[in-house]
Amino acid sequence: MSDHRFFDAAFLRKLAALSLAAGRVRATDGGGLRRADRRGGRVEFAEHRAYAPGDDIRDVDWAAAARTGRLHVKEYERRGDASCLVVVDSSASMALHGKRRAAMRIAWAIAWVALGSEGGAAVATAAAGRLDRSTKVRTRAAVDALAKHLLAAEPAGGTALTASLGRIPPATRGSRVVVLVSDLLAEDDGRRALASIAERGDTVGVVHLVAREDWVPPDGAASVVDAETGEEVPIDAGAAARAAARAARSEREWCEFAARHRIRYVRADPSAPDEETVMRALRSGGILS
Amino acid sequence: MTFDRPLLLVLAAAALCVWWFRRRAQTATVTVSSVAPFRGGEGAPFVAPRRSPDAATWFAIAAAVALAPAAAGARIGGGARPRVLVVVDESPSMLAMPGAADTPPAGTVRDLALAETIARVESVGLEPVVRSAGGGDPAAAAAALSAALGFRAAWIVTDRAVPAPHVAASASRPAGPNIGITAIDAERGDGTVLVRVEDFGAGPVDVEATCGGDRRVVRLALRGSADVALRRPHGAGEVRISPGGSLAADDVLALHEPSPPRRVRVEADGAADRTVRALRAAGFEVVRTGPGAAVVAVGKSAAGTPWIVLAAPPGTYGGLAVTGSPSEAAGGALSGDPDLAPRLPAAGGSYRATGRISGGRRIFGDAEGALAAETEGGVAVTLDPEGAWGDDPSFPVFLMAVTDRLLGPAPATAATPLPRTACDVPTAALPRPSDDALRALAGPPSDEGTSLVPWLAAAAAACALGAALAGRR
Repeated sequence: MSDHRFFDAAFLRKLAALSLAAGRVRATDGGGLRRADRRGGRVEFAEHRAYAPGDDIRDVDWAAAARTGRLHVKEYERRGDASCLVVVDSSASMALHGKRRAAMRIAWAIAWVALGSEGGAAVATAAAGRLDRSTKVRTRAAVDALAKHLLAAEPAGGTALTASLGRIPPATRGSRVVVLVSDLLAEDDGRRALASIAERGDTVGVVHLVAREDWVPPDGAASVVDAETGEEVPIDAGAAARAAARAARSEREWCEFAARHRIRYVRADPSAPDEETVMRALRSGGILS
Repeated sequence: MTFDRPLLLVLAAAALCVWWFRRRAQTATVTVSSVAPFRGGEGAPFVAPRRSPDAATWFAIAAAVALAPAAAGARIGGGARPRVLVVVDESPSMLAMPGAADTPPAGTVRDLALAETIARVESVGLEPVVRSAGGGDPAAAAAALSAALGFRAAWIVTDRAVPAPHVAASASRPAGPNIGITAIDAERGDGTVLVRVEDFGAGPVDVEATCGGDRRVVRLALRGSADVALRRPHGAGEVRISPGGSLAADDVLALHEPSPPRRVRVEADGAADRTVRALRAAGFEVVRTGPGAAVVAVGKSAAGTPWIVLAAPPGTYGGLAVTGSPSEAAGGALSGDPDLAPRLPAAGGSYRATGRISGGRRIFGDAEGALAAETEGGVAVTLDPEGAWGDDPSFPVFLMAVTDRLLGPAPATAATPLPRTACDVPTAALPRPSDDALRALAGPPSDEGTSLVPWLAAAAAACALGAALAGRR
């Protein structure tokens, strides 16, 4: 398999200029800095952020507060040699509306960027509570192994992301970036596991594939059947309105959850036509920088 | 509606199949990534979406529905049962009421017999074809109708026996005894009408006959008769008997107005407008010249017979002599012939008189003498009709009464009574014919009706075209 399976050479050159955003850490948390240093990777000042209730008082940059009269928190970003694990949801629902292809392209792009440093990258597919990891590769020359692993997994089974993500072992050394690519259309959407991974010190990103067709009742359908559970639900006159309300609530809840646990959250349209759309989505969500 | 090939109605089932499959296609279930977004709200009952077939489906169904009866050979107006010609005797006796008095009759003998006949015919699986025989001989009418409609003979609804090959059927409850007017003479010269009242099985019975205000009671023996003279009213009226028995049609006879009106010739040297107007109001045909049945002269002697002289100037008129000078006569002071008293001038008026009359028979007058008197062939009146008397409502009535005295009442005409044989209604039911006799009268089945095939086929084609056009959109 060639490097160019998913993207052309011009786009790969653009990707080469990017790197993984390996995570932000508190400024004065000695443990945090020490932990980051212990795992390897370079920690750089990222930005000041306005103090918010719940922030540790030790994170306040008092010097900046003296200058500006306002409380600010200093944030740092790890860069460089973090390892990367991209988890692709391979449940049955991912087979619909182009989500599987979009997920593979995004996962491959993230892994390819990650292989630009020394941390190495691996991919995994998650379905029915299982997690099927590839071998970790360290060079872009070996990226074909990751592509083969992704292509070998046919979408099937239900979604049980808590169980699947729970199978990710803690990083043994250095920093790690864990990115989940999924449509998140299940009651078990893995939020608890993601929070746990973030609490362990890994940088967590979530690419939420939102297909319009998943949130709009099919034309002329009297009922719909769940691709994963087989449950049939009749479509009535209020189904469209309810679906729209639930879509908005889902987005709001994920944004709040990501902010609460410092998780990079990005929504991506699987029907996006070109690589630029994919890259913009990843960069705006802070997964690549 | 009947069908030549009813099995082909299975095409209607095909129409339903088309509709069913189209409907299933429209209600397909779609697989989605997750049903969570589409679940019903908590506590909200599920409301099934309204599904309606599209226009193409409706057209296809309509085409199939039209095609099925067309293929099956639908037709209307035809009947499969053998028919029986039923001829109804409409003679007067059929209008008598059934005689059993224990229950109120629901209709005439004719109605009862016809209803029973139709039920009987249908009970043996035949279709009745009902025709009226009119008021004539029902057997002759049945023969003519049978020949015209292609039947061998007819089942006649009647109260009398009929000759073969027809079969007579009467009502199960025949008519009751009858009393009727069988003859009348209304043109007698004495102002009376003479009617003959006859009993047909009800007697002995007292029968009251009335005509206008006159009333007579006669006693009839069983199947006896009596002639009754009754005073004829002026103008139209009727003669009626009571009780009348089972047949109402012979219980009353109408008397008609005399026709043409009597003619009156008016002679006057001066104005006679009020006189002419009063005569016309009384129904006379007024002529100023030429011969007439009566002569009414105003202010002069009459030349003709009979005569009536009004505002008679002094002089002699037949046996009557008018003397004295003009004066006023008070209405309240007038008196006279009781028969004419209601027709005297009003009491409150004052009437101009040319004098007083002597001789003859006084009709009315005051204390000074007679103002109106009659003699052989004529009447003289000294009141002036062109004065206040001419405006009084009693004036035309007086003229009519006086004319009747001179000429006698106008001859009247009377309706023709029913024939005596019609009044003698049968009071016994005919023997009940057998079902075999009824079946023997069965003729060919009814006509084949009108075929609907061309219309249904055209409708099916139009609907098919509509389905094709709707499907293209």
